[in-house]
Amino acid sequence: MTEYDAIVVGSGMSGGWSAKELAEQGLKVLVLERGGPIEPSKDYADFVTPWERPNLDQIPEDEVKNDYPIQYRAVRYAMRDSTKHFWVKDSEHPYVTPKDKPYDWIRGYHTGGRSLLWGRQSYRLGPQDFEANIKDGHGTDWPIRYDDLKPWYEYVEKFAGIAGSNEGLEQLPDSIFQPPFEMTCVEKEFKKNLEESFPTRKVIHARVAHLTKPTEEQMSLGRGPCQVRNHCNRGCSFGAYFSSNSATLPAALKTGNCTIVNNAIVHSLEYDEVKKRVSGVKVIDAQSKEVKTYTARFVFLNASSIATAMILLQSKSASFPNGLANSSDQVGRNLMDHVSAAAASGEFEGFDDQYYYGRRPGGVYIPRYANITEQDKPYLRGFGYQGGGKRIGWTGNRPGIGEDFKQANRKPGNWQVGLYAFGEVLPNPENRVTLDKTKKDKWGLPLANINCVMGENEKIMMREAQKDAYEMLKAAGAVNINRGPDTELTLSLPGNRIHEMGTARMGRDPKTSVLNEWCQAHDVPNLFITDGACMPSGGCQNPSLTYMALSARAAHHAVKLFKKGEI
Amino acid sequence: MHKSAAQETQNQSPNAPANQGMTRRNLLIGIMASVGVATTVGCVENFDKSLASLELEKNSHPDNLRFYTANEYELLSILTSLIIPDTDTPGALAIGAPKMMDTLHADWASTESKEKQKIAISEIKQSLDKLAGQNFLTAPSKIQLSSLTELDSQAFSGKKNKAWGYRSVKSLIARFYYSSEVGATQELRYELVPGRWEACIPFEKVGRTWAA
Ligand SMILES: Cc1cc2nc3c(=O)[nH]c(=O)nc-3n(C[C@H](O)[C@H](O)[C@H](O)COP(=O)(O)OP(=O)(O)OC[C@H]3O[C@@H](n4cnc5c(N)ncnc54)[C@H](O)[C@@H]3O)c2cc1C
Ligand code: SF4
Repeated sequence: MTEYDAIVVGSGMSGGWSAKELAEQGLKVLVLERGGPIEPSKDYADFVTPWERPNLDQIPEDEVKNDYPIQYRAVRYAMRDSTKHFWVKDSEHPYVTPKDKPYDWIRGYHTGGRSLLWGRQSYRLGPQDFEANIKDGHGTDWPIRYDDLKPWYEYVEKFAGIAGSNEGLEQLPDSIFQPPFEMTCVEKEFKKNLEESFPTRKVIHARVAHLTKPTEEQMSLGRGPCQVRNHCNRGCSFGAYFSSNSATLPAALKTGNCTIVNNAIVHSLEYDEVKKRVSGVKVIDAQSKEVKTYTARFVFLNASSIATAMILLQSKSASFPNGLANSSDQVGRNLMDHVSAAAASGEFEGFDDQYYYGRRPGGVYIPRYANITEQDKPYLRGFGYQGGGKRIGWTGNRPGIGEDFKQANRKPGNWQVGLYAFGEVLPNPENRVTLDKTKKDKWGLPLANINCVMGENEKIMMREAQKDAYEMLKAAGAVNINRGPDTELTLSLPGNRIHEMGTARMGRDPKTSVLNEWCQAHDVPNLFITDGACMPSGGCQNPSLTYMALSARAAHHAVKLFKKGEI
Repeated sequence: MHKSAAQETQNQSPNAPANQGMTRRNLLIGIMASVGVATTVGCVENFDKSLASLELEKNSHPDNLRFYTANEYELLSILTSLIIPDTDTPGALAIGAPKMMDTLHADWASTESKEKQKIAISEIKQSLDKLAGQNFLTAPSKIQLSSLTELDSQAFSGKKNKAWGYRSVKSLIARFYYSSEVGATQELRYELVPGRWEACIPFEKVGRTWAA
């Protein structure tokens, strides 16, 4: 007897989708979430004015040093005293890296996971991304192509709500869009000038998971239009940006088929040697440390790439002494992220009489052109730029005192356009997570041992992206560009872009990949993985939209198999 | 709501003598406000008497300081009142910036930052004493103003590191001020819930810098 039809491990970006799709099709779903519940009225800090919190809402320095040294170094912009509960304490959730290979594992353990904290940039992969591995030989071939995922992108976009503009670009296919946030006058000028100088490049609206024209379905879940506050990492009482908390979990719960259990740390999956199936999910209660096993007909792992790999590696059995579904030895390998380093900003003159109203979440985007519309590159694959143009605000770092000083700050500073590259990181089996042989966490689980570095292609790519950023700003009319074409770059640490992927990749061959085209384990038919772990390569686009589409697609396939009695 | 243009034109010219006369008085009001004696600058006049006696006693510091010494606090209060004075909107002393900085360093700062702050304050004091040719704290308002004006212009003309102490204290005063309700909504503009995005509008429609 199984208690549930399906168990979903993790309630974040991908887990929310798995739960929703399975529950809406009538299956009894259990979501196991290691963190605590989120109560908007208590946990969201989106109505906190700048003057309501002491100490500029900063987390005390000693507390940062003791409890959040890694989280804070990576995302200090999002970490305030009023929002620190959205992030793990590094002191409570350590992991191991070689001394010379630091890694940023940036996360929050609570209902909704990082869907509550993300930057909401939402882009489809393009046809080239599904073909990259087979073409240049890095990584293994994707078992699906763009057309396989296209209907599922459409499916998730309609529900999630993406603000953006139709551009007809092959490499960055259009989503189903709600109206974009208009460009500022300087962004329009930048776009015009840049596209004139570089006909192979485009400046488009950032595509962000914000409701600008909510549908009936979205409103029926209690979601409303974006209020343009750009305080999203404090939570959103309007449910205006997509998160598991605002969208997928309410939909899943509405069916009456979904149960969420919090504080449920999945320890491992139990394997039935006879039936050759996962038979149970072993859980430790985060508070009482009580151990319990839940059973279901099949399991979706959505704990996020590194945690999912750890659960598999931790699940040892006679058939799988090196970890469940790991006959290929690929579990934990090919850990990817995106890479940043190239960035520049410059000032635009002649718009001093123009300003804006509201705090727009998101700006502009320059889609990948390298090895798409331009072929002369000394590196493989490519990058996109996030960016935006706005006026510099007040500053204490200016000369003058007294009324002069006040007057000077009453007028906003110059217009500034900034560009910031996100590049693709090649899959590399040596970049991997394993279970540490000796160190354990406070629940007795082995720590992750993460061994991951950026490669040569990433270095060259960022060097070139820096040159390009400078040249584009210059050609578009910027002055006082802050970083030149030859600026010495420090690559972002692996993990720092918070797009970890690849630790249980999909592929055509069970010998070299963990999952098949449906994100179903080659080795274990009733096990599905649809978080970033399943990605055979990362593209250069922010990946969450793709996890959503893959989760919905896999869930529908799993329901088919379930109904046929095959799992 | 945006303030009317009429309200905005009542600015006094910078550093006008009338302003200087106010300095010490405003300073005292600010200090009183920060210890809860007065909560609004609006009722200043009622306090003229107690101000006078306070000044007489030269007892212009609250006794519940948690980080700064009385002298440091007084220096900071003078800096605050001169860098961001009351004009047609209340200044940084009126909103209690020195008290906020005292709390910040008591509750938020690490030992290292605490030490740095002490060094910064003492360096500023030394420079100002030198520029004033006397104890800056007891110097006449006019001399305080001219010394600080000189220190500020030195800090922003030479090498940045030379004056890091002054510049960091000045930045912090500005952060507290522009994050305060007065600084954000009266001096600058702030909307907690803008509700809409207008990408390009004439500057006059907003009229001031957005505080956030
Ligand atoms: C600041 C920030 C900005 C970002 N910006 C963007 C962006 O603009 N665009 C974009 O596409 N992506 C962005 N991301 C990345 C995005 O958040 C992730 O890609 C996405 O959330 C990953 O989804 P997931 O389901 O794999 O994991 P998560 O959303 O992290 O969810 C995993 C869940 O599993 C739970 N869990 C973990 N281990 C266990 C266990 N053993 N047992 C039970 N439960 C467990 C966790 O508590 C968590 O709730 C950003 C992330 C951050 C932090
Ligand atoms: S900007 Fe929009 S999505 Fe973000 S918190 Fe405000 S209302 Fe919510």
